Amino acid sequence: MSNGGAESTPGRSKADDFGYAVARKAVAQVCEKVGFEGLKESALDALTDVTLRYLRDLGKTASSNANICGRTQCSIFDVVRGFEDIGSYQGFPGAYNSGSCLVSSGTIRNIIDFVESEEEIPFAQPVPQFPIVRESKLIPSFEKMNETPPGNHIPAWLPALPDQHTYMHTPMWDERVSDPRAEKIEQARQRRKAERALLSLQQRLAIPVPNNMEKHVSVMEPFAPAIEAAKEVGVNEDGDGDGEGGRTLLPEKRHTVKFRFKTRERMLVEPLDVHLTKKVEWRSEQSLGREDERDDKKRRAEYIYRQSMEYPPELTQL
Amino acid sequence: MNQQQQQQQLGDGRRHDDDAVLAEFLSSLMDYTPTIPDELVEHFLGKSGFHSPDVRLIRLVAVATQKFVADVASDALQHCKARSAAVVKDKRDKQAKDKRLVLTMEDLSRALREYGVNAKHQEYFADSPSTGMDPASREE
Repeated sequence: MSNGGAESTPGRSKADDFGYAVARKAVAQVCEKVGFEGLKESALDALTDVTLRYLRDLGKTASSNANICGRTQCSIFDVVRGFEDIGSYQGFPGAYNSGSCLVSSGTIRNIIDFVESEEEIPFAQPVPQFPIVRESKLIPSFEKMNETPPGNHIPAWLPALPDQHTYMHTPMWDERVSDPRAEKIEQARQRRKAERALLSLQQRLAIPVPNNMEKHVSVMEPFAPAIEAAKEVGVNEDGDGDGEGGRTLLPEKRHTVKFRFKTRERMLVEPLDVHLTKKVEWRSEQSLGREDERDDKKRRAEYIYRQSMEYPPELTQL
Repeated sequence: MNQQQQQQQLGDGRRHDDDAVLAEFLSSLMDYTPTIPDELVEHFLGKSGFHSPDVRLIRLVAVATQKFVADVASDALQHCKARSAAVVKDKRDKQAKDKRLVLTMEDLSRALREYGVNAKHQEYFADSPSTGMDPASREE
């Protein structure tokens, strides 16, 4: 019998392991019913072993009794004889009278008394039918594969021989047909798409720059012609869900966004008042309930924009 | 002759009763769910060559096995209680500790002895000359 991992003992199949585990639980339940509050593991293992041995011996005795009588199927009498045999050590009422009819056996009486006195405790979990029989996959025959067997001596109903590529090196041909023109067009299309995305992002964030920010260049200026072109084409935006012919409706009240054009240096320390004004204005936005989502998106968009502005924008990477 | 006939008639009557009792019991078994599940019993009986299409027989065997386990466990419980009772007599302060009834290998091996199963463990150290002797002849 094959055993899988390191858990199973040699000579014991996986089904036996499962059966052992189930039996352990059942025995523990019975012990609990009897009155034990705890069990030592070694004791539980020993008792489970004895129980399974009992079960197996009963089966062996009953089946051999049936075979002796020339039957393959076991009947009640075979089982009762098995009870008497295994109970002969402990003893049962009526054991002296070995010739009596098995129907009135003392062992049966004991069992009946037991069943009537005890309340039933069903097993804790449902147990599936085991061992589970796995259907083996058969190799299809020559006929099924629509192949002719190589050689007249091989009949067509035999399992097919393995494909050549499994044991021989067969040449591989690259199926892909490359079309340089189509590839260039595709590339240009993707670049345009990226550009459009960046433009729409800037449109969302853009506001008229306040006067005190003279030093900072309006971000929209260099991109103004591109935006015009995009508008003509009919840039379609979906983000805010306002879809009026693709134009975004900028909300009336928006918090100030300070753009900083930095050439390669990152300013780690922001001026405190800038940070505070941002906060105050952001909080005032919070009162408008329906604009919460937009703020979230705006903040995210702003972050992305800032990141893209830190380094020279590489549109293909968007 | 009459006496013999009478006796035989009585015997037949009793046998009919036993038949009826057995048949009734087997049918009542279908209502009673034994703790040991049917699938487990079927698997292990199948391994021994026991083949029967009748579910009642499987249930009967399951119930018999449950009875066996319950008997062994109750014997072990008796031993455990006797042990804790004997200890309590000597030392009162151990009462609180020994309240929990735990199945140990020692109690189990004593209980199994009566069923013909030898599950005795070798003792670890020979502390006293009486180690390894029959527990009945030992002084507790």
